[in-house]
Amino acid sequence: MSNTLNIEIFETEGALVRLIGLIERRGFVISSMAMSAPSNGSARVTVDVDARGGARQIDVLTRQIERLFDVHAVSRTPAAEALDFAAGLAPATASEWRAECPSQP
Amino acid sequence: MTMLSTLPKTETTAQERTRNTGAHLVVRTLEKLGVTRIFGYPGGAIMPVYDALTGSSLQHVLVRHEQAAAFAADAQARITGKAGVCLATSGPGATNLLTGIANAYMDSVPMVILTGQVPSGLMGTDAFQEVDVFGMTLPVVKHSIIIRDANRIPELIEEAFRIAEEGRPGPVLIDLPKDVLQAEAFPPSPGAPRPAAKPLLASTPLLDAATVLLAQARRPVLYIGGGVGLGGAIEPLRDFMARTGIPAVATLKGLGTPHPDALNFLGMLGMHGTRTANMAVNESDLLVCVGARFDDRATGKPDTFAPDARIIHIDGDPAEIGKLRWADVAMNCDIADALTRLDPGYLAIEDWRQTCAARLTAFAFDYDAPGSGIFAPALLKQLSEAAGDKFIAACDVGQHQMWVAQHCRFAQPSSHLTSAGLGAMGYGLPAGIGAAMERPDMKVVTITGDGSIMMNIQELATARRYGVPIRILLLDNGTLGLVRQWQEYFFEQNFSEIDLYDNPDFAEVARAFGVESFTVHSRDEVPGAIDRLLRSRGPILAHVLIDPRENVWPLVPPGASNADMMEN
Ligand SMILES: Cc1ncc(C[n+]2csc(CCOP(=O)(O)OP(=O)(O)O)c2C)c(N)n1
Repeated sequence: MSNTLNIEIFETEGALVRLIGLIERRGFVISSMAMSAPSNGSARVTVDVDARGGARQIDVLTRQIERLFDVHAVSRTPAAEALDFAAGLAPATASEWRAECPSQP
Repeated sequence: MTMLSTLPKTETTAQERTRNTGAHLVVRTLEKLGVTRIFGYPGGAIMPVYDALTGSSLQHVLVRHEQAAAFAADAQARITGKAGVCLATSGPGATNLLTGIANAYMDSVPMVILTGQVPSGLMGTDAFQEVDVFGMTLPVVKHSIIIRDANRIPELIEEAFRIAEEGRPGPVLIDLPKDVLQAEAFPPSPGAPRPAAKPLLASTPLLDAATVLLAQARRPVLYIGGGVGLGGAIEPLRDFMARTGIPAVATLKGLGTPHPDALNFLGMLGMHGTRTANMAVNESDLLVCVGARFDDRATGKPDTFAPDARIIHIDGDPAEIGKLRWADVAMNCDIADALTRLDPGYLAIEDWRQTCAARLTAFAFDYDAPGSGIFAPALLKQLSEAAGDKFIAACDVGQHQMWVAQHCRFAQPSSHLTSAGLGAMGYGLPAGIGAAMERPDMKVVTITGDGSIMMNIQELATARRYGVPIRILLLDNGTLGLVRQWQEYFFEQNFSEIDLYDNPDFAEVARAFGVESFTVHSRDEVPGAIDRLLRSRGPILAHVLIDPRENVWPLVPPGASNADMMEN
């Protein structure tokens, strides 16, 4: 199933190639992509991605993108709840878990 | 050379030329950041920095191959926890660094790499010695920057150090076009330093959840990775082990983190782990993973790894959590804080502890090898015991590397310098040089094989030039031993391209470089050899002849479960 990622990148040299390279390298295919004109030093990139196969998880990809220094925000649809926590875990633990994984530089 | 002397003298000397170029800013910024030593090799595009280096307080160590500069800087960083620095020119200088950058990335080592680049106007035109080092290194850097404006050099270099060192460390590359290095620059005075990032504290509800799982567990195991040492959590980890008594296993990079004499430490897990460690993980009902990442060398076939265990995963890097194994309780936080506050009280695991302890005795390594040949595992054990807490091993890659991991004792994770994630042959000698220059008070021993040493043997010249107090233990089995072992067991003894029968006489080679050396042929010479190595001021090389048929045991076959270990 496709996921859409909305990524705010700083307008720095190499930010876009670093982002796209990461997505591909971590085992996802980009099926469509758009970028807004930069303003105030940042730009919004919207990508639809599908796992190329294997057990690649979109929430891990999201956190790998958040780890980049030229990215300042990532959000995705469908939202995290629907995908990650359907697996029958203690809900308290699962929601706590999300709270514990903020975007970190 | 006569031509050179007939050239007209240039008008100015280095001292008279402006000291306000980008290159001077590079050097001054490094000095200001407290860097004392950098490893590098000069060439066209980086020459302005070499020009600015004369008269600097920085010690520049001239290696004989850029790869060695990266490995030496990496080793220094592993020991100090501060970013190591290496320097190379554009094109071939930069490509030669690549393996070393990847090595630092895979093992989360803080490093700042400075590369010269062709002038900005020529970038993208296939100019002489132009390679896109920024693009080429994207998959193996934590971050990278091309500096386009000389005025921003101080700010961007400082940022590179901060990024390299904070959080999960890693290499940061700075590409420096030659025109930027030569431009006159008047940078704005530096702003206030950024406050250090606050540690992310463990959440109380998650600590409570973890405590519940621990209280329920009957066969818990602590699975320790390199992240514990990187997160400054060695003491909290040792204290947690002592308080709870939970049996613990470590990854290759986790070795040295548990107290080496802790009775509940079961050894390394994974492909060449101990039988006791792998059995414990296999039977566990709760795995507490701290600063480890479920790497395939540790887990074997993933779906057979700790098949009955619930998982508590504690890591400083959010992107590691849930990557390869779902965690029942996932804590992305400061590891030291989590381990300090995680206090499950009394655990009813006495039977389990005794089972593990009994296995440690039953499956202890056997050092009584038949014959009079040199048995490398016994030699390494004696060497590390003789060196004690001063021992720092800088390993190469192969059977000898696994023997070091299995048979040596490490007081700290930084006592064990090894190319874990990348497994790069050639690491040992330059890493030993970087370590010994940083810690001349320690007993730094490079442990290498006859295959690996040839990957960076030119660095004997560096060891000699700087009088580096390094001891090199070369375990020569005349073969690419680890590959040979796999061919023996997994390729039906079809030995292909592993025979190094025509190696040079390594003791002679060392002497030709001006390095003291000797050869050790038989077991009765071993105590004397260890003594001579450890007493020497170095550099010194002991060339030790061992049997090519000796293998590393136990061994989990590739693709198998850790429960299916092969023994000799
Ligand atoms: C740069 C590099 N090339 C190839 C390999 C694959 N490899 C792993 S171990 C090994 C043999 C190492 O031989 P040696 O250094 O003599 O050590 P031994 O296994 O005999 O102890 C090889 C070729 C590697 N790890 N790194």
